[in-house]
Amino acid sequence: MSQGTAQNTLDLLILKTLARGPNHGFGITVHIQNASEGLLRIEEGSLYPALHRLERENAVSSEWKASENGRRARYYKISAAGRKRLEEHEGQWQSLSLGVARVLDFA
Amino acid sequence: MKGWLQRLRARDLDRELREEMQFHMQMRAAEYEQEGMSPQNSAAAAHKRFGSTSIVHEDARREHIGGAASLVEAAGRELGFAFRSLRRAPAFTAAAVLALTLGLGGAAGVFSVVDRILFRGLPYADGNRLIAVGVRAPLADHPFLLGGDYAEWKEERSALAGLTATSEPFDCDLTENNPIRLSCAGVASTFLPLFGVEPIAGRNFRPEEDLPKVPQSIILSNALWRERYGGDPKIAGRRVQLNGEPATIIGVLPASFEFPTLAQVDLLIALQLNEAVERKRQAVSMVNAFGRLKAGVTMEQARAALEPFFANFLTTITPSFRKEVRLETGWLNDAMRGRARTAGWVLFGAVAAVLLIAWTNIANLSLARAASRAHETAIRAALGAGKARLMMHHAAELALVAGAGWLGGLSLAAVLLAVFRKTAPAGIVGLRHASLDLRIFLLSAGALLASVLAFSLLPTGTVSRRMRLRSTLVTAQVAISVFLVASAGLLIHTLRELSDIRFGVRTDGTVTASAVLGQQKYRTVADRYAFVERLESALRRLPGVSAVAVADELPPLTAGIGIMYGSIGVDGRPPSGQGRGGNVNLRHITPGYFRALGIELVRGRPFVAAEIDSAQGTVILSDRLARRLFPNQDPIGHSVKPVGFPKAYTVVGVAADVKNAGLTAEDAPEMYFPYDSTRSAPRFVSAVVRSAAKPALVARLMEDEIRAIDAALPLTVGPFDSRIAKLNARPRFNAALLSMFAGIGVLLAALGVYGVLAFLVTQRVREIGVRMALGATRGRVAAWILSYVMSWTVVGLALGAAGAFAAARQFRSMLYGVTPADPWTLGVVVVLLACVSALAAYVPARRAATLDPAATLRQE
Repeated sequence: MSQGTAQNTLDLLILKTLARGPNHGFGITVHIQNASEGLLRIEEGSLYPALHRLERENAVSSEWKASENGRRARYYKISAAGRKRLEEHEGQWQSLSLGVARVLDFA
Repeated sequence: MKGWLQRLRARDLDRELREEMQFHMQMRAAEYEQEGMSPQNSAAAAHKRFGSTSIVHEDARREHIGGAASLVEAAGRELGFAFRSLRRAPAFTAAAVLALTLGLGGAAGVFSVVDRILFRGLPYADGNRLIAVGVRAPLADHPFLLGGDYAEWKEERSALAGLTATSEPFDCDLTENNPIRLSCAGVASTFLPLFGVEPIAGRNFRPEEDLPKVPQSIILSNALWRERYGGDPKIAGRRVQLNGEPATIIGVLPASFEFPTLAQVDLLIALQLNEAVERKRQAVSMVNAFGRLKAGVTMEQARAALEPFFANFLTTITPSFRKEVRLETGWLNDAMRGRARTAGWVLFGAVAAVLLIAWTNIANLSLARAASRAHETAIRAALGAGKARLMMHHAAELALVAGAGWLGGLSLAAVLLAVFRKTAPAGIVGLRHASLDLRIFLLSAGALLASVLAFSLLPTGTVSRRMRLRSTLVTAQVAISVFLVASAGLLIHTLRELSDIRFGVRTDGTVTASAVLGQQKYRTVADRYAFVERLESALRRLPGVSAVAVADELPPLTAGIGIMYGSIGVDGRPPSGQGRGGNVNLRHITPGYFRALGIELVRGRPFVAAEIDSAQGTVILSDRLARRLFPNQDPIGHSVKPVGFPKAYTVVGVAADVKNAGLTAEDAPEMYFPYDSTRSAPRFVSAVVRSAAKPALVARLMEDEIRAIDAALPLTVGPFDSRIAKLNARPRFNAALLSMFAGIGVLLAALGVYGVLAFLVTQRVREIGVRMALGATRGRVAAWILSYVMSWTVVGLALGAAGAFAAARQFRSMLYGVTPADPWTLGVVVVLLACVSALAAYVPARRAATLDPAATLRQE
């Protein structure tokens, strides 16, 4: 359960980032770190396995493109299936965090 | 085709993954650089932040392909992962596989030989009940029974199920078609049944074939049957010519048969002992006797049962002789394996030692690997890989290394075994049958499996505990290496002493030929003497010949004829004491003998042609015999008369002593006689030619000349030196084997020392940096590292030297001219290994000394 949640959370963050536009792995970590104002730091050791899993599950696709500094990089792009999954996960997460917040407030 | 594509795609995936991670780290480094880090440090920091590329790579790869489907697939994937991670550590992999290959290969190869010597039963049915029986007397170098005594002793029935006899193997000739010189042994008709050996074709000797003077029957050895007769299954009944007389082949021995003295024997013939005559002591043959104990009878009981027979034997010999004779009974097992058994244990010890070193090396290497991956392991653990999973990964790596080492080792073993078979001297039990059999496959695989399990549990605990364990392992390696090298050193020393033995004979430029004159063609003494005469005059015609001689046997062998010192009468006085004083060799020679062999005449002159066959007997004594018979006296002109000889012989010369009783035995006193056709002309004939021409040419010409005299006479022709090389064969074999082990051991130990130190330096880079920052000079850092090595090397050296000393005492019988505690050998070995350790320590110590303290401190 806990690992599933952590994995779901990571998927959610990746998909949400990619919903803004295609990006490479490094760009994803930078965006998440910036958007969370430094609260979340993605471990590379989890990021790349997750990206490759999402690709296998057809939630994202990838292609090699020249990056902003001119070097070849692998860009990930969210697919239609990925967007659907993002919506589901987002809804689940909202209700989960709302639920958790209520429980915490209740005490 | 499909497999190909898949592999191609897999290669693509790996490359892409690498590039993806590379890009990530470069971006991160650029970010750090913007924050103000130096380019070098930013790259390092980016790498550090990323963590283990190999794990990310592997995990991403796994996710890319899809999760595990089955256990087999998971194991396959784990092995694949292990394979790739080993490929990224080629030094570790190569060192570990090499250590295993050398260790296991050497061990399996030698074990396949030693196994036969030490652990297998004799190739006889119920061989553990067989005993060797005989009397030991100065007359012969092995226990024997006289023919008459054998006839009486075999009637013992309370302790023995039976007693049988064989002759010593002797040269014999198959003279049909292409004549061939073979080794024959006579055996009683009871021999094969008592030993539980069944001919695989034909039958055993019948009692009536084992009677004197009946036509001979032959049982072929398996090898001779296959090589000369093409394995003809209907061979029994074929008539052949043996030593020029008709004989019948009646059977074939199984391939596993070994003669009880382990001598090479090509065919067995019936012993044909004339028991009636022997019992009356009118003829005296010497036989080797073997008995089988009845069930439940102990060796002591058998000995007690034979004592009365021995007491009876004593009454038949001269009283003064009795003190020098004793009864000998022993297990055939011990008698057969004898010296080979000691050598076997030594080699077995060496095998175990090398394996131990190889194992400690692998333990050490895998500890180093575990340490260098501590970081990676920590990450994996943090990511949720359980302890079991980590251990499994470690085990998968070891299993791959072990598998590679196993294959390599068995190939090496097969090569070694082939080499052993080619180079080994005769008389090593079962060597012909040694092979890499199932037993060795399983044993080696089992040993590997155990080590894989043990080592995959090893790398736990703290760094300092690991370090202590590793130092201990290296100490053990050094100790075992000292032990190995010292043992090898002693054997090499022995070999050198043996080849330095002065024969008292000049062997350069001499070629010899020997033959046995057959019964039929050379029936009388005159026939044989005529041959000797023709032979000598023919050889004198060869080109470049400076000397020619014929004798019944050449040193360092005896002619097999001896008398007792005590039976020689001097100047008409009766002998001092018959049957006492040790053996004196007799040799019959032609006048050129001393010149051809370069034996110095200390006094007097050599024989002259007129003395051959003359009524006036003359003799030449060896220096040792002359000093003993004529102390402080010039023996020339005095006369000697051995008991049983028809006349007295005048001493005309004294010859320098010659090695005449084998390589390591004391020189025996010796009497030289000219050939005398009225008295004796032995069947054994050896010719020796000294020539300036090339030995190979001389050998061929000699053969041609002898063929011209008797085309059907089988010959052994070759340079004199090759006779001596043959005598050295066994010690050379032992020394070579042990040296090989010692070499492997030292190599592995050096690897061990190097590995541990290189690791130590890497681990303590910071400490070294601090020391240097605080003012330690480079020299002091190097000295610190070296003293660290020496602290455990010295312990290892001391332990090893003590072990070597203790071990060498156990194989004292294999040594010659050197004591087990030879300070020279031990000293050299200790210094050598100290140097090897220092050398192995040099590279890491140098690396430590040239570290830049500032850089090492900044690194963290």
